[in-house]
Amino acid sequence: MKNKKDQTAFHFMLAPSMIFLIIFSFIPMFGIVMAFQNYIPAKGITGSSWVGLDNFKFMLQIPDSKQIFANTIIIAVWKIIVGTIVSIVFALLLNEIRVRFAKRFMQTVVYLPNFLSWAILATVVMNIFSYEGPVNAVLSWFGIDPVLFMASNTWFRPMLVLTDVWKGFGYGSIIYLASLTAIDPGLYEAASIDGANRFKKLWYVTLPGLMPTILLVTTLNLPNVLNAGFDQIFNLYNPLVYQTADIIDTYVYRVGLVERQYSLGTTVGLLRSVVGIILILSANKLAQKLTDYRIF
Amino acid sequence: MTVKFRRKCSILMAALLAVAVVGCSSGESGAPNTATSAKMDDPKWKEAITTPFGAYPETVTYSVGQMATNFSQLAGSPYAKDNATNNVWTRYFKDKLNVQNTSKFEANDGTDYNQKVSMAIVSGDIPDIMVVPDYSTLQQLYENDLIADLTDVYNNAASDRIKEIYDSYGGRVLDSAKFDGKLMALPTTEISHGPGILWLRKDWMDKLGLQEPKTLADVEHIVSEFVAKDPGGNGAGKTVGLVVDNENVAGISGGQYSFNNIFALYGAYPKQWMDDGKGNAVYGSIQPAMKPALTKLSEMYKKGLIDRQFAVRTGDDRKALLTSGKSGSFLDNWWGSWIVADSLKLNKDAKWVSYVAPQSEDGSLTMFTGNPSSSFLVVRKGFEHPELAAKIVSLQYDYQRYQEKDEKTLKEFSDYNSMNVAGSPIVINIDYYDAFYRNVGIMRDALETGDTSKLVSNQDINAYNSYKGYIDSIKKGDKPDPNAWAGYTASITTASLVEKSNIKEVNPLFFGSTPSMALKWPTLTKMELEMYLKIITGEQTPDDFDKFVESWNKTGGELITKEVNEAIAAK
Repeated sequence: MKNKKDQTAFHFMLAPSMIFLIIFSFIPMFGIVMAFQNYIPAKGITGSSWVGLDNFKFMLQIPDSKQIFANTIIIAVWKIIVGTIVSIVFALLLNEIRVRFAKRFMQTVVYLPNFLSWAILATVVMNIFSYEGPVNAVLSWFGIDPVLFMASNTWFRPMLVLTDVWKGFGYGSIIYLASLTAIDPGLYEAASIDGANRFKKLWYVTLPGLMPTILLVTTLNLPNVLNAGFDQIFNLYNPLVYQTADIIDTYVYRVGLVERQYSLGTTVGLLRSVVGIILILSANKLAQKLTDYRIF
Repeated sequence: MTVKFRRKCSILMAALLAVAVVGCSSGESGAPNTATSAKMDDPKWKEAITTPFGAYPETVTYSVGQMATNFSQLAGSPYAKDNATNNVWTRYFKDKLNVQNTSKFEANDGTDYNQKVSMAIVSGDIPDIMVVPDYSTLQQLYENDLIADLTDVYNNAASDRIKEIYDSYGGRVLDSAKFDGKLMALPTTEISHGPGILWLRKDWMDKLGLQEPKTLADVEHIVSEFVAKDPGGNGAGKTVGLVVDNENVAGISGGQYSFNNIFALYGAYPKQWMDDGKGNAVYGSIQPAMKPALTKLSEMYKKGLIDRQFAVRTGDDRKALLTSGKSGSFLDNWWGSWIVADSLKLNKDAKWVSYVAPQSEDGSLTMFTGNPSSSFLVVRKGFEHPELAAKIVSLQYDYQRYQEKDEKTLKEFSDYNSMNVAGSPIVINIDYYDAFYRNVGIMRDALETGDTSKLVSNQDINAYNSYKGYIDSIKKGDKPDPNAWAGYTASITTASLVEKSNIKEVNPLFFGSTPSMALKWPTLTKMELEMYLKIITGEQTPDDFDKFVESWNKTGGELITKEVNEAIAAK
């Protein structure tokens, strides 16, 4: 009871973010009723006619919906897997570097792309992988025919994963670097005395020490499975690769805003949210089970 | 969190919910209109209401949603203080009709403007007069009973020339704005884009000793020589073939960077509702004629005659390829010269020439005619003077263009023109269907003889002065101004070329939308687009076209075709 005053202050500090959340996350949620209507802007939500589950039925009927859900999940899962592995490996490698200056320098360099937006990076990527770009120039030295990476349904997904990992692995490795410092140096000393070489130390000391962090981060990434990255894909894709690159977010953008099919856009978005919340809840449960950590 | 705090939160939430729901309901609009009938008893008012150019006895104010004009360009001129409600046009309207506009909203042309219109409709608070950008918006306004019936207004207060102009489209334009027999808007007239034009780098052709193209084989030959022999000095393999729009490979009237001409050679008219010969409308993109055309295009792509990277290019990329000399060929329409005007700045030797090509064996070129109206001028239901729309249109597109003789006024307009400032609160265009080549002969004669007496409109006289300037600069051996070059090449050179050529027109039957289209069309267009890109780039074989047709029909195409035919029958 003594703390009551302090708590009020904390609540007060929470207010701005609460207001932000209400205005930008809660109020717009009422818009989901549009998914059950034939929404006409002039009539508004109260005036538009109700169509029940028609929009859902149509959504399930069109070939697009399976494709976009599959794309979303495939792209996101690959990003999480590759992203996590590369981040861990990078953190481990960095940890082995003993020269402080080199370590700092490396870290800064790989960090850099994280601070650039996809609007900028997309142009860079497009140029590097274009027909006349450096990558195709190198391929041609080996007598390989030039490949249109960004217009090929075979290559586009790997490119998405690759460029996303390139942009993010520096940032992603921070948390692993941090938890590496938490491993008891005594364990390494003990391992040395037992005659372990560098690799053995890595295998028997470092990795087990990192395991809880890896598990936690991966689990917390699970809800992002439906977040395959609007910015990146929107800036990189083109109609030819809709088949493999169109994700829920880009589809909702095109259908809902560009084509003004508000109701269909909302329907697809709503389904995404439903799947999303299931994933968040199960990830939370999983995190609690595996690492004894929970968000709520 | 304490219980009390939680309760507070939930109250707050409930309040916000209430606000949100109330905010969404649309307000009632428009009061019943009784004042007009009283005014009809007064002869002065009656004359103003029933004639195109009669001035109102008292100033009438109207609110308008308008496209923003960049008045800052007027800085330093005598008009530096002009703005949206006081400029050459609004003063002209005030002077002639005794009307004054107030601005309800202003937005840049394009998406910004369309969004503002959507917002106005969503809020149920629309300006007295505004231009809406497409048919579905017009339909929405009509169905929601937000706009006034302009049937009588058009009959009484539109000038004879305006009616004549609309009639030059044979009813197609006005019909597009009619609902249940009532004229609900004054439609924009989309002047004919003319046939597709092939633009080639003449200096490259001369360097390689190439002849003018006629058939598709000629075109292929020229482009393959461009790509193989690199006359632009881009380095081996760096010259790009025909530049193409990745989202509109074909099927848009006046299609920029599109293959309309090549499809037409095979009798295919993608994206058009064509007559199947028995009076039924069929969708052009699923007709058997598409297949050989697509096969041809995929062969051309394989040979490098089409930009290999077209699928990933943006609009800026396409323009840059042409202006920077990476490519020397593209299909466009008569004003394609404006696209490549910048290449004159970058390379003084660049010389673009227009051809009516590829032609069929009998030397003709077939084009499909476009949607004759793309935007609509509407009046809010309940606005006291709906006739104002017709009066303003008549003044702006008839009187000012053809009948205004006052030197001082015309000087002011031409000053605005030369500074590239629009100013009018109402931006639509109403012009003859054949406006593009209507006057080209007269203009040519005038340029040859210097006798301008036959030029009817003030617009023509302005254009004449610009062309004259271009010709003089060429004679003097000066470097022509790129914009003057583009204007002359489009409106004189290319227009003359089209005038002399054998152009056949086919008229699509339907441009509107049907109930099922609202939901299903985006999916179908996406399928269609993927089909073009995949077949042309060789990711699918032309045989996959049949699969596309099948799934197009299944995914709602069949139903929509039926609806389109019903809609045509109901007209």
